[in-house]
Amino acid sequence: MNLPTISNILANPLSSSDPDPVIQLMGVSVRYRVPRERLGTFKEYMIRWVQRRVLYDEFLALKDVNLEVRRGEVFGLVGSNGAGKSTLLKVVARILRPTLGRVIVNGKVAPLLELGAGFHPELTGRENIYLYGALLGFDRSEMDRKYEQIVDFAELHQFIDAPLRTYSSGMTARLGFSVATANEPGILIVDEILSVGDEAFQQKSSAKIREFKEKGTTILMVSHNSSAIQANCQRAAWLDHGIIRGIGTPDEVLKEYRENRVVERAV
Amino acid sequence: MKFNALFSSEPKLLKIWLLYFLFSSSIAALVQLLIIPHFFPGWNSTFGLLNNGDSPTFHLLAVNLAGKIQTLGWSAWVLWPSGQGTSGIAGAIYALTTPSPLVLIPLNAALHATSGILVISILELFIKNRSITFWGGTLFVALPSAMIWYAQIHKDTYTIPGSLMFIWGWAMLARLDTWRSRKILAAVCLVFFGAGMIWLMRPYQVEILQLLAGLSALGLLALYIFWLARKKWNFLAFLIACAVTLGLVAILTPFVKNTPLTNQTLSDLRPVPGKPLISDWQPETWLPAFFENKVRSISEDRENYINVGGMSGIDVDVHFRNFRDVIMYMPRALQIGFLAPFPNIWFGSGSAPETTFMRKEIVFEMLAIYLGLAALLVLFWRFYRDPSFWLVVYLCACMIVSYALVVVNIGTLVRFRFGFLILLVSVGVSGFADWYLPERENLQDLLRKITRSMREINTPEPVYDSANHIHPALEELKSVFRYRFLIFQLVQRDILTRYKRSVLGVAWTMLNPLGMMIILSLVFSSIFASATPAYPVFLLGGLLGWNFFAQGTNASMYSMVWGGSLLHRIFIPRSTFVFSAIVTALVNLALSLVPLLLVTVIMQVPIRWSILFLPVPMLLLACFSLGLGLMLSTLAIYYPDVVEMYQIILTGWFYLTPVIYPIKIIPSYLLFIVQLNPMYYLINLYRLPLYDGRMPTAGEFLPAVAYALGYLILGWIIFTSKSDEFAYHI
Repeated sequence: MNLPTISNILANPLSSSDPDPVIQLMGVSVRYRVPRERLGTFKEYMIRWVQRRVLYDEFLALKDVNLEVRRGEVFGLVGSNGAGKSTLLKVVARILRPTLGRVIVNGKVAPLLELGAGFHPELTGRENIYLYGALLGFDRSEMDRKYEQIVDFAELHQFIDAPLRTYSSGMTARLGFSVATANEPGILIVDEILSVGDEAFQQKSSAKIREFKEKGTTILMVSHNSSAIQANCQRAAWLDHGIIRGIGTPDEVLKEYRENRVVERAV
Repeated sequence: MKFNALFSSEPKLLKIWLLYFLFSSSIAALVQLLIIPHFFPGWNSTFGLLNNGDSPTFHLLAVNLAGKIQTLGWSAWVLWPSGQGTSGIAGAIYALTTPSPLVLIPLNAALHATSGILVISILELFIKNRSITFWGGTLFVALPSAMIWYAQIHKDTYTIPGSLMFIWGWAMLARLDTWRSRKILAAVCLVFFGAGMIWLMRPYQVEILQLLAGLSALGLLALYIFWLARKKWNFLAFLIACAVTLGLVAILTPFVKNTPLTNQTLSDLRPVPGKPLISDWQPETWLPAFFENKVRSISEDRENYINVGGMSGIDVDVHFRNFRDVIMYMPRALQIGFLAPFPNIWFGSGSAPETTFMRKEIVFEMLAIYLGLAALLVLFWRFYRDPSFWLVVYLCACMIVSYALVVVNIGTLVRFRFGFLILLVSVGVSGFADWYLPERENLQDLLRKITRSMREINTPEPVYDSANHIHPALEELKSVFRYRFLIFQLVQRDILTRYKRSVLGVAWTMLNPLGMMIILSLVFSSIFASATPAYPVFLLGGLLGWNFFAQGTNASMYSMVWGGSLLHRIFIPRSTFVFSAIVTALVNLALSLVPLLLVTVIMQVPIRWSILFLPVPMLLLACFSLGLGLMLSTLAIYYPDVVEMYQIILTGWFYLTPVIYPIKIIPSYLLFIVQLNPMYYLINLYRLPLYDGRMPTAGEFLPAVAYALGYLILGWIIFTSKSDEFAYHI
């Protein structure tokens, strides 16, 4: 893993126009090294290594991305599949450390990536709330304080002591959303949600996100649904093959994105 | 660091040689003219030669020879008067000049300086910085125990540069990945002249060297085939190299055949042929005869040294009677060869005042040697890809061991092994300096970061900056501390889900080892009953400790490989999974203490206060399992089949650890294998407070602590240095 050098950082100075950036990406590149053939086992790997034939394809998921998100802003990311949107979110959420460049995040990140990933089917709803809360980095006292609110919001009072395997998928998703949004995060990362549960709950969750927005939470969201971006975001960026092709108001960016996508298809 | 302040630019080898020459000749002159005759007249025999050593004898033989030459002419000259080559050469010089050891000083100093230069040349195979290799060579030249040969008369003056040439030549052959004919020629010359110089003094050493050279040649041939396969060489180069390598082994044969074996009476000697010292030798039928003979002659040499006696004898009661005795003594020989004289004899007295003085002096040398060898261990990690490094270490180590097998007198051993051991120490010291000096800035920087982050450990506002990279090992420690509630939750999840859908619930944790115990007790108690009273308690104690270890390490791998999908989705300190696996196992271990106590009471083993000590071995066992679990899960992330491989290893390991059998049944010559096994100490420590009902001794306690903490630290460093890449691999 390469650390950024001084010159690397100097080449991407902080823009002085921005008073209070919450997320800063400076010359961020993420390189995946994919073995050309899948070498699943140690034995295979050793054989290939002796033959000097472990070949890698290098694949840049992000190329020299510079981005700033200000405090309280709702920032959208658009781009086709494989453009690097999820990778960018992972870099911000600390899941991946960038191969090159530097990321600075000021504040607690609450990821809404794939809700309920840490749930265990044998545990009850109550036990799962605490487990998921711990996975998100909260401690016991914080969870004790928020517990009632979470159950209220998820509307799961009757089932809270039943094992999670008895829940419907909608109920599980509701529980996940409730835990993830229970503590007011500094930064909320939203990846293709807002389609959780039934229509009533969808409205409820949208309202919750709006509430956060009003309280000054920074939101970074990704969607294929351009109307969602247009409706919610103040600014947006268009990501294409790991490169930022445009940053601006959602209208400008989406216009450019649509035009180019059409051209691409024509080619 | 101005290392080369001594020289205006990079020091030339010739200049260094002159410096070493001046140094050793002036020291030798001082010793012979001033120090011994005037300060220690009691030690003086003639001309400043120590009276309690071989030098006066060598001198007298040389004087006799010179007298014969002067009366009978040069036809009277023999190379080995009474078998002593050093006297043959000295005699010739005495005949030409005057019979005083002073005239030998220039020759001795020149040879010693050449040794220093050879050390520098060997070091420069690995280290490119002359100002560092210079200090490596200086260490070799300036160590005071070398005075015994360059300031006196001895054979080592010749054999040491000879051995160094020999080693350098072979190391060069392992460096031919870019083909150069000049290098081949140089290597051939070095090996030939080196062997020649050794042959002049100690012909039997060439015999050992030929054996080692044969083995090196096999290694080199494998290397050459590898290079050929990698297309670094063409076929012609390969053929030439193979021929040269095998030729170099064959070239030693005439040296071996022409041994001037006569009746020798000095401690630097060889048994008299035709008079076997061992009458009750037990031959092994399956061994080739020539090999058997070599082993036998080594054993006879050892008898000879035991008969010579001396104050600093070590293991003089060990006699070899067959091939197996020799093999079984190898680990001990390794220990003696590298590390003797051990601290317990540093302050004793020798056979004479001068040897007592030497013992005091050698303390400093031994400390330097220990440090250098420790540095050498670190260097394996740096040079492990370099075949010439392996070759140098192999040749030196084998020579040291073969001397340690034979020479029971430590004073003599120190002299014989000097060239090989100090070469390794020089490699260690210079290699470490070469790594450390450029890294010093970085290390200091790291230290500053560590102190800073210690202060920041509880900062409330989480700020993530990917460039603010304190050392990953510390960063992980910090975040694990923040996520301690998660570890608790994961443990709770594992324990709850394990028992939720079973009728007996938590009772299984206790029933499982009890069942195992009953079965194994039925099978084995009749076998081990005599050695172990209350066998079920003995067994259950060990079994619980082992189960904890096996369960903990296994679970840490599984939880990383299968639970690792979470690492894709949210940020979690990666080690929480391993931590929770070990803590879960620890909870199970604590629960299973209930049946253990029950069985103890039923079997009427008295319960003593020492039982309160039990948490300590449990904690140590947990540290060890955590360390190993971290290493294994790192491997398992990259190669999932490590999980399967580990199951096999675990089974073998179980039977190698005294869990179901007592340590007493292991024959003493196999004990060292058990003593290398960390689990032996840890299981034993766990069993002591309850089964034996006593506190551990320091000898039982300290190795367990060292293994547990060592594995924990190593595992932590390995895990955290790779953990940033995990999300890319799962």
